[in-house]
This record gives sequence, structure tokens and C-alpha cells, in this order.
Amino acid sequence: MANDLELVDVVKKFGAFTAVHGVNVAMPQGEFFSFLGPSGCGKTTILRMISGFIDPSAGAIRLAGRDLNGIGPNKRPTALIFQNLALFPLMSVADNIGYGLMVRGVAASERRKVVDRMLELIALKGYGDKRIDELSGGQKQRVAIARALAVEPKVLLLDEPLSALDLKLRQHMRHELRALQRRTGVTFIYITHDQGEALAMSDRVAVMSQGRIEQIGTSTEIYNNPQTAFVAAFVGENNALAGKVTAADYGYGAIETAFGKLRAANPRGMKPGEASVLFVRPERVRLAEAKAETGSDNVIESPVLDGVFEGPVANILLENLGSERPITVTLANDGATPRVSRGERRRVRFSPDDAILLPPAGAAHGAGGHA
Amino acid sequence: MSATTIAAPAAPAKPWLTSDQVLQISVALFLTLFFLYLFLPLIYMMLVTFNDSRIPTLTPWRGFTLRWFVSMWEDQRMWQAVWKSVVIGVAVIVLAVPLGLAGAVFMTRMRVPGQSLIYAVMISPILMPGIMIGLSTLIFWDRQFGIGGRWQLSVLGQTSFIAAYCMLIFMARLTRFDQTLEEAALDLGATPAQVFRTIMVPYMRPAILSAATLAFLQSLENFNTTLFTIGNDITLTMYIAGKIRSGTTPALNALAFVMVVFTVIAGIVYEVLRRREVRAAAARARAAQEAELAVGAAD
Amino acid sequence: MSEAIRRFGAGGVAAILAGVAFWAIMLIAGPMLLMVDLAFRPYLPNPADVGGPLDVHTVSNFAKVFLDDLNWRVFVKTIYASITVTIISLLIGYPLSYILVRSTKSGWVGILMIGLLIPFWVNEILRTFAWQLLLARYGFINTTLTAMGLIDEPIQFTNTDFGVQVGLIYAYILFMIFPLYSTMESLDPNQVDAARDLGAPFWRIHWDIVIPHTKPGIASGCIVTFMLAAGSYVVPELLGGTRAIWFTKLIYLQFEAINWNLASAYGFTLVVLCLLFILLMMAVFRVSLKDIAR
Repeated sequence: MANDLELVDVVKKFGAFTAVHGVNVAMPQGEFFSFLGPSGCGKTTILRMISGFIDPSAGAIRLAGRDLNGIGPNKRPTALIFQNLALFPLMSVADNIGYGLMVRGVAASERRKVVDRMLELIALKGYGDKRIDELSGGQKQRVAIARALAVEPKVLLLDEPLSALDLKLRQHMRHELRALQRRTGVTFIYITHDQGEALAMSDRVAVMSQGRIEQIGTSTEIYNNPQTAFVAAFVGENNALAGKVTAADYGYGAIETAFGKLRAANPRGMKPGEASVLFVRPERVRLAEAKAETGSDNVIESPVLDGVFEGPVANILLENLGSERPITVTLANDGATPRVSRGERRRVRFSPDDAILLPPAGAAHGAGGHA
Repeated sequence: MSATTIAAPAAPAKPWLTSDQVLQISVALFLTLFFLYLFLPLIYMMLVTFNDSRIPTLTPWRGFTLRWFVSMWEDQRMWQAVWKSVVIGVAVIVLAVPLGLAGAVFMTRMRVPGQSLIYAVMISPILMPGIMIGLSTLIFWDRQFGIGGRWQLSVLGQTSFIAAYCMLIFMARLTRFDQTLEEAALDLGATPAQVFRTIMVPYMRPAILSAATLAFLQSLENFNTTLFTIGNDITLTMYIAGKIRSGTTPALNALAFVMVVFTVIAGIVYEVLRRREVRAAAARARAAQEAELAVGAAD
Repeated sequence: MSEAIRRFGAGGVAAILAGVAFWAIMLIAGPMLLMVDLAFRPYLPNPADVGGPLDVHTVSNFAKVFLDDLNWRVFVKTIYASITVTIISLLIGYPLSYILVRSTKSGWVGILMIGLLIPFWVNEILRTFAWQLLLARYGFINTTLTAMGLIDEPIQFTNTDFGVQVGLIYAYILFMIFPLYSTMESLDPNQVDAARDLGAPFWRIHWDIVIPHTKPGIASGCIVTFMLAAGSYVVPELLGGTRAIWFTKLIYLQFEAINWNLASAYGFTLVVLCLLFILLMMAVFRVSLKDIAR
């Protein structure tokens, strides 16, 4: 598959502040790609560089092999869905959707055909004459997408477009966006700080922090095999146990923590003597019955701080030695959830295959920054 | 029925008027006097028109007449002055509205060293006595370019401060402008000129209309700046001032009558239109809310 | 700037800058600077002398303001009368603004506001003409007072400083009321109610709460009213005639006599006077230019 959009060593500086440090990404035509990161991580800057509102300080952005540098936003085959949608309040729904065609000089009759097709696509047939402020939040959302798609962009850029919607509508729009992307085959680049959105919709996700890409991968890769401590901690819930590597062999490593020696996968090849953090997902930790066979599993024993029932799951919080963040054990509500009482010491276990050793956050960058 | 009763505090001996009533009466009296002060002169001026007397006075009353309207209507010099005022007013609109818009865009959307000084310069004519603007405009154009007093010079003099009013109107609206609308239009392929025409101008249209109206009314009303720059031409205000100074018949009151009535009607129409627009916006907001509820029900 | 070019295009930016430059330089700064320059040069009746050896910088024009007895008296009178106008406007405008603000909830305020605005939509000259009709020797006021038997002889109102001041207050009181109203409006009414609840008499409420809050509005209202009154030409011209002369009239007389240098010097003096008044107000009310401009 041909690479549609490429970012090569893209850097953006605002005065002394570097918002984006050498980002490299390539995405094939028709991919749903997300940039995920906390606010201020540089994802919006990347989006604005792709759409042409700002120029990179260094590096290149290419579309189908063509360098976009110096091409204004109005000449780029990209379309942007703004965070606040930026629908034109003084125009009707139809005029909004037809705007891109109008400024290109497309005849009114032709324009109307496209607008009608778009209205059908977003299931708002017959809404063409409505004014923008007569629409609900979800309807506005769909009109903004139709307006962008009407100009047949090669790439559709979405800047946290769901953030203004309420929770239920947001869930609904995820499916709708994904379906729309499949139907149109347009490359979607989605910017969000909401990991649920990114994981649920995307073919691939780039997790960003402080202007750098920490990891690029599919949702399962990002979730199951985080490459950095930041990704492990930012995406989903994770238990972190800090310590020092004592041994490394055959893809596994041993780490000396406050709970003693634990074993975990060592994909980054951490060497003995290095400071490290062991991450293990709460749902991969199980309660260990007293004196039960634990085999090669890691076992931790710690007092129970609290038990939190959340409906489908129950969380048990154990004291984490050497950290203020407790260890969380998530148990599915299968009808056999054991009762725990506060202060009681419990043993929990997890497989070394479910745990991962990573360098602590803030350690040297570079690994996993390339796709 | 409530079973509890609350014991009322022992009422003090009731004075003739409570202090609240005294306050209310004095407020009403004050307002009455003030608005009488505001309107009496205008009403008197208008009523005088109908007195069949050669000098503008209500007493002695010599009978009802409309002849002063006729004599006003037949005054050719007045019509010439009106025409000149309209020409100047239109020219001021043409000049001051774009300049005010340029100034407002300059102030709100650009960053240039020394900008606040430039702003101070642009805004200073508002605080300058009108005769100073007139005098300085005349001196400048006469000395530098040999252009003496004439109506075109009045246009320039009036524009220098009317553009500042326009700029303030535009700035107030521009600061509320959502710049992502421009970005969205650019992103959809519009050229900067198209963005300006299709996004900025429609958004600014109400402000442009107000600015144009204000510019025209300010120009029409202007005396001080015009006095120094007009040369041998004569505007409506100059004409009226000349009439007043030389002593006048109630034909001038007839003119005043017409102008006041026009002013009041225009003001009321403006207010009605504004309220209608507010109501329409409220109706659309209700429609959006209903759409929201409909979506909620469908889910 | 590159951001602006991206938005408006190079041509658009050029047009905007050209407009601003034409306005600021050709319509404002250029004329003002030339006028100041002229004010410091002698009047040379023969155009051939302009720019010649006689055309030197001097303060002789200003000497005429301060040393000529008539000019000086008119100058001082203008200041004094304008201050009176300002104070009376404040005394009327303050309670009126307070009433307007306190009646915001009653629904009356819309009607009162329109009522306040209508007279000011009417041409200033016509408003002054209306007062001339009222104040004239056989005008409404004199005939009414005579008919009521309060006076035997008509009182001379027109062609007096008193008549001019009445006209000035009428002409400019709105410029006092608006800044007062808008600053008072931003005062949380609960503060007033709280003070009343705590037992403060009404004058204390004003002295301790309303006036301190309204200070910037008072200052800007006073500045604008004073400047309009001192710089007014129409009102003294129509109500003062040849007897009650305003400083602006002196400027006009010099302008008519084609002595633009002296006219400029008088005008410059007037502008400096206005600036001094602004500084005085800022010192008296301890407010900054920023507070006033709001």
C-alpha cells in the first residue's frame, strides 16, 4: 500500500519552546490514525502543520510523495474538523456543506447534488435549509464532517471533535465516525486526549508526550506491549513497581522491588543494575489463595487498603510499598467475587508474561519513536 | 392550612408617609422633572411650527397653520444644503467605514511594534475639540497641497474622527469573532479574498451597517469641523446655524419638526428590529434544544 | 505578521496598512503636527515671507493668550464656566444614573433609556435652537414667568454666560450619564443591600460603596463633559451671541482673519488645557487612564 501521508523529522519551535521534536510517521491511504496524548503534548501543533496553518521549523510533510511545505491551507487536499466545529453560523446547513465547492467555483446545480449526497451520508436528509443554531450538538458534528468530506479531501483531520458532546453521544459518534471512515476510504487523522476514543476507533495510534512520539502501534500493541513507561502509565490503568534489574536472559528480566524479586518480560533488553519499573495491568493480577500452588507466578503480599465495587468489576486496592499509588487488582464480577476486609493482608499473583520491564519515565528517549 | 402563626413585631406608630414612600415620591418627581427638561425644549420647538406667527413663538397664539411646512419645502437654498450634506455624508461613509475597518483589523489581528502609539493616534480625534480638527485639516491640506476649504476637505476632516467611532464599533465585534471560522474557510479551499467576502463581511455586516449609519448621522450633525473646512459650500447644519443667527421664521421649526420626527422614527424602528432579532435567535435556540431532546429520545 | 499575511493575503495586509497609514498620518498626525508648528511661528501676511528669514520659531502667539487682557479673561471664563457645567451635570447625572441602575429589574429601564437617547439623536444645533426659543426675551420661560406674575420685566437669558451654560448642560449631560451608568451597573447590588442591612444610612452607602466603585465613571464623565463644554462652538455661538464669548470663538475669529498661526496657538492652548484637566481628574480620583478608557 502506498504511503499517503508522511511526516519526516518534523520539528516545530515557538521561540525558545520546542513543541514538536523530530516526529516521523507514515500512514497508508485509508488508515484511521490517532495522535493520543495529554494536552500540551504537541498533537494539535502536528495537526495544524499538516493542515497548513503553521509551517514546520524543520523536516517535511509529504502527501503522496509531494512536499506540502509552502502550500497554504486552502491549497492542500486536507480538510480539518475543528474542535469547536467552526460551522458558519450565518449560513444554512446546505451552504455550509457546499462552501468548499462554492469557493472552488463549482456550479450551483452540481453543488446541490453533492450537498444532497452528503446530507444522505450523514443521515440529515431534508435539513439543508436549517440554520446552524437550530441543530443539536450531534447534528452539528455530522454537518461539520459532511462539510469537510464534500471537498473530497485525501486526508481528514479531526481535532478532538467529540470533546464538546455529552458522554452518551460521544460513544455513539465513535461508531458513526468509524463507519463513515470505512465507507469513504479517506485517511482520518484523529487528535485526542481520550484514550478510549483513540483505542476504539483507530487502526493505529501514536502516543505522544512532550512533543515526541512515544510509541506507534495498533490499539492492542499499545495496550498490551507498551514500549515506554509513559505509554504504560498513560494508556489504561497500570500498576507500577519500581526497582533495579538484577538479571536478564531470554527476553525476561528479574527486578528487585520493595516486594522482593519479581520476574517480567524484558522487551527493551534492560540490563542488570539499571533502574526500571515493572508494569502489570490490574486485570492480569489475581488473588492467590493461601498456600495455593503459584508455579512460576510472581507473588506479592500486602495489606488491603480498600475495596471498590463498580458493577461489572470490583477493584481491590493494596498498599504499594515505596509508592503512594496503591496496587490495583481488578476482578470481573463473575458472581464469585471474594470478600476482602480492610487491613487484611492478601497475597496476589501475576504471570511474568503479563508483566513488563521498562525504563522509568523521563529516561532517555529514542526507542519506539519510529514507525 | 398552617397552624403556626408568626407574631408580628409591634408596629411603630405609623407616620403620615413612610421613608420608603418619601423616597419613591422624590424619585418619581426627579425623573419627571428631568425628562420634562429633556423633552420640553424639543416639544416646544415643534409646537411653534403650527402657530400662525412670523416669529417663532407660541405666545401669542395666532391660530393653527401648516404654511411654515410649505415655506420650508419651497426653500431652494435648504434643498441645496440638504443635498450637499447628503453628498458629504455618503462620501464620509465611503471613506470612514473602510478606514475604521482597516484600523480595527490592524489592532485586533496584527502585531506591529509601536502599535499602541498608533492606536492612540487613531483614537485621539475623538477627544479633540471639533474646531481643532477642522482647523488642522484646513491648514494641512492648504499648506501642503494647496487645497483650500471646500466640501471635499470637510469629508477628510470629518472622516478623521468618524473613522475612530467606526473603528471602535468594529473592534467590539471583531474581538468576539471566532477565528476558527476563517481557518475553516481557508481549510476548505477559500482564498484570503474569498474568506474576507464570504466569512468576515457577513459577520461584520451588522457592525458595518451601524458604523455606516453612525458615520452618516455624525457627518450630517457635524458643525465644528465643517465650519473650518467647508469654504464657500453650505451644509444643512451650516444653513440652520445661519438661519438661527440671523433670526428666523417658523419655517426653521418646520424643518426641525421633520428632522426630529425622522430621528425618533428611525430610532424606534432600529430598536424594534433589534428586539425582533433577539427574539428570532431565542426561537432558534429553542429549536436546537428540541433537536437535542429528540436525539436523546431516539438513542 | 506572517500569520496576518496568511490570513488576509499580502494584498489584504498591504491595503490594511495603507489605510491605517493614510488615516493616522494624512488625517491626524500630519495636520496636528503642522498646526503645532504653525502655532510657534509668527503670522506673516505676505505669503512670500513664509519659509523666509522671518519665519522663525517663537512663542509670541502664546503671549497673546496670557498677556492680552480680553483673551485672558475669556480663557479663564471658559475654564470656570466649563467646570460649573461639569459639576452641575455630575450633580444631576449621578442620582439619575443611580435610579436607572436600581430600576433595571423593573422593566422601566428600557423606556427610560430610549427617553434618554431620543433628545441626543436630534441634531445639536436644533437642540440649541430649541433652547434659544425657550430662553429668548419673549420666549417660553419669560412669557410664562410674566404670566404667572413672578417677574415684571423679561430676564435676559440669551447672550449671557448663564444661558450658554444651560445650553451646554442640556447638550452634553448624556456624556456624563453614560459612563456613570455603565460603571454603576457593574456594582453588585448585593453590596448596597448588605450595607443597608448592616444599618448604613443612604448617604453612607453612597460615600463608602457606590462612589468609590463609580470613580472611574465619574472621572471619565467629568473629563468628557468638560472637554465638550470647553471645546463647544455651536452652543456659545447660538446662545451667547456677541456678548458671552467662548474661547473657541477667539480661535474662529483668528481663523476668519486668516491669521492661522494665532488660531493654531489658541487651539493648541485649548488642547493643552484639556490634557491638564485629564491629568487633574486622574489625580483627584486616583484612577489610571486605563480605568477611564473602559
